[in-house]
Amino acid sequence: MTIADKVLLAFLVAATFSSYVLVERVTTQGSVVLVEVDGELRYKADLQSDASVIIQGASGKLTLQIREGRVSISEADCPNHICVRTSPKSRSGELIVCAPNKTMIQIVGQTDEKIRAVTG
Amino acid sequence: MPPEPVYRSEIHRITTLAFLAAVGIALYVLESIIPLPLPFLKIGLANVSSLVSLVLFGKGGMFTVVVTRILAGSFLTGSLFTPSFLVGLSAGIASAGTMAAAHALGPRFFGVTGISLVGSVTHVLTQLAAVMTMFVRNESLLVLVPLLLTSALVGGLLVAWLSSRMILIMRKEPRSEA
Amino acid sequence: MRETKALPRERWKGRIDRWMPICFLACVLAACSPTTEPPVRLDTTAMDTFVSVTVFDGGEDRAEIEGLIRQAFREIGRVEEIATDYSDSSEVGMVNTSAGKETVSISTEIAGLIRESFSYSTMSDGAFDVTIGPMVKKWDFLAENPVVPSEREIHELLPLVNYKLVVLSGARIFLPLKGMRLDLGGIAKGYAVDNAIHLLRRKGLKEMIVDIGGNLGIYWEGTHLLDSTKATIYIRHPRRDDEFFGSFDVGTGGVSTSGDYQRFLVHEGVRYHHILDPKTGQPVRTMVSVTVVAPTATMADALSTTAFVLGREKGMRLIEELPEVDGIMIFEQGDSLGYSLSSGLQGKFVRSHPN
Repeated sequence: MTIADKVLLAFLVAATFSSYVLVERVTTQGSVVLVEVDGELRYKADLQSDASVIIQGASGKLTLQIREGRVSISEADCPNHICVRTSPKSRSGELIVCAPNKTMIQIVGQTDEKIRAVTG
Repeated sequence: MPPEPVYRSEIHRITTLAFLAAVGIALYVLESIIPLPLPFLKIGLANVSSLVSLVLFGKGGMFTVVVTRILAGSFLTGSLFTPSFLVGLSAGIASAGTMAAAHALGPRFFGVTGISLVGSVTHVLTQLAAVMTMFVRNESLLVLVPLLLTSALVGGLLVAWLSSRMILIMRKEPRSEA
Repeated sequence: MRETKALPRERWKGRIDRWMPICFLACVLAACSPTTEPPVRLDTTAMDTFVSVTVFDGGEDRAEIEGLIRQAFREIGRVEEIATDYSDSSEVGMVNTSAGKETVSISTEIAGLIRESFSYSTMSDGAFDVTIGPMVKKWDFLAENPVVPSEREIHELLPLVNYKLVVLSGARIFLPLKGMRLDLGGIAKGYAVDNAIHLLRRKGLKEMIVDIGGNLGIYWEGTHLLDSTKATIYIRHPRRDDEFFGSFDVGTGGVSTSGDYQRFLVHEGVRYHHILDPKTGQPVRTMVSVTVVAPTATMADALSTTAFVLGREKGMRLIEELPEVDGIMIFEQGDSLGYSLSSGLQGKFVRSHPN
């Protein structure tokens, strides 16, 4: 290994470590499930309420399952079915993606940096 | 600086490149079978072929091998002309480009390890960028960065080790008269 | 990996000394990257309630934004002055004192607002009616010791409450019966919110929320109503002060809530609240809270009252019929609260649970 190699390696290790730290800071226990298709919010639900919903993706349908505080995809119209094979998610920031359907299922925490207002 | 010629004739050069491309395809297909949490999270084993081609044949040879590997590999895994093909293609070309640049800095600068790391990190980040612009437009996809960087690190080191072994073997290949 | 020859040490040493601190600094900077600038927010009171304006535009001079927000406050104050019926010198006040006497010239602005109110009256068959003034005055919820009016008193006032009697031509208006009163309370706050937003937009701002007593106006360039997830709106729980009932996300648009808990008096164990049915003069009994999301705050304000008076079925039907309007209707269901959502909010409303 040349010295430049070692420097690069050290830098990458540091960068990886700091990226973990950064992401940790932004992540908390999730409580809301967001489903976005092609960047547009399609469905939103409580992580704690069991549900089974069919979402229309960009190229097919997906069946979303929320059970015992975890969300997963049980069926999907896509070639590789990677989203179906993904383990159920429950922590804030966790994602399940179905790229052919341009669908992203995301867990979001209550105290996310969202802008909020109260009516009533 | 021209790389050491490891071929004896033009035919030998072509077949060696074809061999390297085949290695790349095989590794790529092998990787696709391994189930992973995310669709595009790959260790990038196929980069061994890109890296070896780069060191032994220069960037011309590498690009030949990379494009061949991606096209044939995608064809075999059934992802040719799918959205994820575009992701793989852009990541492959981007990482090949940065590796060529790293290599061009001279052998005294980056060794095989450095070039491999440059390639794996570029590959992984380009994949993420491609997915984010073409498919899922949401910044929260960025939470994957630590995971991707780790796999790039591990993959990059593994590829570097495998590649350097392979380079040694290929250079030691006994030369016999045609 | 021995295909490279190491250079003499002296040449490399200089490079490391220069590189390492830079790399380290880069990592540190990457880890401590600054988050987005905090928004500028100013509060005040107006129209008998709490007013709050928050501007999220980044990269602007904070003092300048504060100045613009104060201008928005002045605009809200201006709307209050012309639209309030608590003062005889406001436009509406002057119209009211001339009831049964003579035609009054008003501004095109107020005439427009009254016309818009009438459109809500027409589409709801009189459930929303700005001529409800005499009833509101009789109930007088804001008085020191509010008293429940008698049946007879209410009955006497019923003939005065009828938007169809009003003669409005251009910017001239005539209330034919003595004792008729206009009360724009069900739409004025929403109107003030819209005006404040327009002012801030004209001044170049692009991301803001205006809140007048729970009547919200959200403007975020490039976003639209429920198609966007810019801001999360929480609906206050009608029975538990410090809790929320649920939430949903919106982009640009207006949100307003009418509830039986906002202004009320309790007499002999019965709750009398301020949302009256123009046809009976009594508080509407069937609903607890109605939240409406609409393209403008004016619409949301008027429609939340309208839907409340119309009740569960007719109210939801009206909401569904109107394009780009959605709502949540909360009602009593046994010992607890039930709710229904318009189709646009299905899958977008999250019921809150107490922590």
